[in-house]
Amino acid sequence: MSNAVPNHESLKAHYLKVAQDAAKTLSQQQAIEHLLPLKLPTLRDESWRYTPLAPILGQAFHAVQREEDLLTVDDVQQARATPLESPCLVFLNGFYQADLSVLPADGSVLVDAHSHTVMPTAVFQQSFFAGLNAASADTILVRLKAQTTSAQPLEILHFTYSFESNFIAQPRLHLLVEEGAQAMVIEQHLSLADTLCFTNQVLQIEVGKGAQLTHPRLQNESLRARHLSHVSVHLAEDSRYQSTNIALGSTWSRVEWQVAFKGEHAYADLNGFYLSGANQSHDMQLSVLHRVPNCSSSEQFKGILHANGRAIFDGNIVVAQDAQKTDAQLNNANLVLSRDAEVYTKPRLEIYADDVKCSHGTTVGQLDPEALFYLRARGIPKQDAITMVASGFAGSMLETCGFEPLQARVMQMLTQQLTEAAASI
Amino acid sequence: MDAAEQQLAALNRAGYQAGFVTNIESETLPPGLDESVIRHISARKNEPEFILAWRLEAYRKWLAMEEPEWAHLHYAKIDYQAISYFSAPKSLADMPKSLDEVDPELLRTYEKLGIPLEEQKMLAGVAVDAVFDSVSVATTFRKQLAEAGVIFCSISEAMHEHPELIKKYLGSVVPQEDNFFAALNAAVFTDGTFVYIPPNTRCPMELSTYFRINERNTGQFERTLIIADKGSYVSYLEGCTAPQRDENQLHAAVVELIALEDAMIKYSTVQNWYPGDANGKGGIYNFVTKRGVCEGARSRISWTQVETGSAITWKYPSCILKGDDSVGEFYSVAVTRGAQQADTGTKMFHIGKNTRSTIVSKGISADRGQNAYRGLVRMNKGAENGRNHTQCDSLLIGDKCGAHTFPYIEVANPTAQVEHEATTSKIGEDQLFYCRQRGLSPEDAVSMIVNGFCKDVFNELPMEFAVEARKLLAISLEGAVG
Repeated sequence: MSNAVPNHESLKAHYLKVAQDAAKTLSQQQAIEHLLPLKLPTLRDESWRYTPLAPILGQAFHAVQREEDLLTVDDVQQARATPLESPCLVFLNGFYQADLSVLPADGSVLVDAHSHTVMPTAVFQQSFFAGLNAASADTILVRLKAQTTSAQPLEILHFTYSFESNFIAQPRLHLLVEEGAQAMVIEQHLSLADTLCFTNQVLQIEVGKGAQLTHPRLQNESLRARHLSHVSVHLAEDSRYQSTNIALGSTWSRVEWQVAFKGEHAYADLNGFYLSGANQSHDMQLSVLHRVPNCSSSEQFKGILHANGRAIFDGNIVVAQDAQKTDAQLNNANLVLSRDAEVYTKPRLEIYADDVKCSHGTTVGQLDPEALFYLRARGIPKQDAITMVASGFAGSMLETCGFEPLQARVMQMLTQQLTEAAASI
Repeated sequence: MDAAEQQLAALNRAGYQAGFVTNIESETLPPGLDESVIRHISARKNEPEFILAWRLEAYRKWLAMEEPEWAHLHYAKIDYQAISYFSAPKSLADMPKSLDEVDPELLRTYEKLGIPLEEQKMLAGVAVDAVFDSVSVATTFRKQLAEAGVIFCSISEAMHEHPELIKKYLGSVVPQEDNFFAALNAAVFTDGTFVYIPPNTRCPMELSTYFRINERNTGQFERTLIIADKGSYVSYLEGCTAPQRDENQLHAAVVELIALEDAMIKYSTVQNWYPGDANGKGGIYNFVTKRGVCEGARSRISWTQVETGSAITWKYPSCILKGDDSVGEFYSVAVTRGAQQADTGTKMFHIGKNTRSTIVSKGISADRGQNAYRGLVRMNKGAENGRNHTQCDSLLIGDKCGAHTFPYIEVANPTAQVEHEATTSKIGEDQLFYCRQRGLSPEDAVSMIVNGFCKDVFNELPMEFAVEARKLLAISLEGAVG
């Protein structure tokens, strides 16, 4: 594994060049300055100890130009989980497609594609790839206006598609849920073709005072895609954030969450589900910082692994000294269906306050033979029984996503994959 | 009235109860470390050539290594050139033939610590290989043990008398380059204990060693090697206290356990080194590498530790479960108060089929103590039906302490079942209220609740240790809760 190290230098030089070619604005130039001393992660970095970088990103992905007519209205409509009249923002290879997007007439959602407000760089400071994104992508600012309650969810669609191969897509979004707003934002990451590409996303969410955001997120890119997301969430006083992160696609995916409580009485509910099959690896990196008192958070992640699928879960909850009366519950459960699957899980707690209720738990196990026996004794074929038990395991997690059509769609994909997987068990 | 603060102040005034210094002349090497120091140690101890070569090899590897920084610990950098690597009580230049020849000052020290020597030895039924600084001074019960075929001696003696066992097993579980501190130990270890239990033998008594750091600026580098041959059983007790000193003292020990087919090793530790004063000044730096290998089928290794002392504790007693159906256990109570920091836990490597492991870790943080559990459970591809259950609970007393949990779970076999549970809480007001309503004083109530919290671990300790551990815990936490 150590042979991944020697070409890190050339890899870094390559990605630096990608950034330098793309950087135009002042803030992007500054981002390059910040990027220069950063190192590409190696197996010696704690959060990358199970992830050798070279096989994943060693292929030197290059930048791709904005393409205007590649994506059709049909493509968008087929992909949508929400009704066609509800608001929708469309991105292709990280570039905002205004023509294909639908914005509500009432002005409850505002999009600034030439945002001059520079996204705070305080988050993901040490991450090379977040820095790469900052240096090469334009920030799209999406504002959900204060005190509005949208009846329809806002859908954000990220497509990757190009005639070229080996390209890198870098969406960069700043989502502001202003004071008192209540909204649902559905995010989807999809590939239109089976091309080799690398999505390197930065998404910064700010939930304002008393605001509420529900944020289901589905990553279903092609099985050759690499997907890396940096999601930062800042919660103001009395705010509420609920997300369900579903990872089905791509050969390698990694989501880095940084959730920070900025005001008291806020609540964050982070849920996740991953299905890792042949040649797939899903990585969930969770960092939740309870900096102020009286906040609570719940982190529940479940995964199913089959074939030679891999899963990495690293959840870290930090309760600072002043964050009394914190309530945090962290859980990770894994269902392993095959001999060659591997699970690495690391639920961590760092607690510096005494009046807190914190717990974490994790399990790794196989299908309950008694449950299978029960079903088979009632005449259900083995393959169906396995699918039934496994999808039941996943079901409770998918229910948290809060948007029925998306849940049904995911369940359908899941059942199909599980049925195929079950046939070989 | 802030009762907690008052009681904390009282606790700090109480100070460290085992802090006293024995005045005997010692022959100590000047501070510093290079190959000549290692040659000196080796020559001084009359060691066979192969040991010197092994030490030098370790030293060269150590030079290329970096001190690890991943632990959740904060301490001033250690200057390895400012430490003296050898110290022996002078009156022992020629090993004493019997207890009568032992410096009476030494014996008094042991008496203060309540070590059962001489008259007490029959009563306690414990054989003691007492290590005073770096040279074994007295070994009792040798004869009785010899009749059973058990070898229980200092590792220096074993080098001369049983070189074949040393050659075969020294460094076989913790190799020289295993980690920074293990490499340092391999280069400069001064003495330690060697135990060999012959096949199908149940060691007739519990073996015990007391370590004591006495000389200022002297690092203690103990090396323990325990081999339990097929079908044998041994219970080993390790306990330590250290006199009060103002400078940080480094302790980097290595313990290696080898359990062959059907053998069982039970290793219990009560660690009460000097923890430093209320501001963290002084105190022992305890960097220990402990590892056991369940080499044979159905073998079993059980670690039990009660950690109440040291300024810094860095310790991960581990089990390599190689043999099919082998069992690894880890029971731990770690208490940090004042400015103490502990980063401790275990590693369980499941390699063989049907291997099982249990981890029970109880962390108690009071005052400004920082307590971290760091554990790894690894199920290899071939660990068919491997089973692990981990329970780690933290108790917080006071609002400036910290409790941290860093479990690593790696599973590469679908039939393996791994569970990890952890909770963090403080002593419930309702629990305290309940006890006090029934006439218990706050101290007794806390002591009772904490003892209940640690019960799972104390139950694993041998009788003598369980009593001492309860006493230690009570002293450690006296008045920590208002």
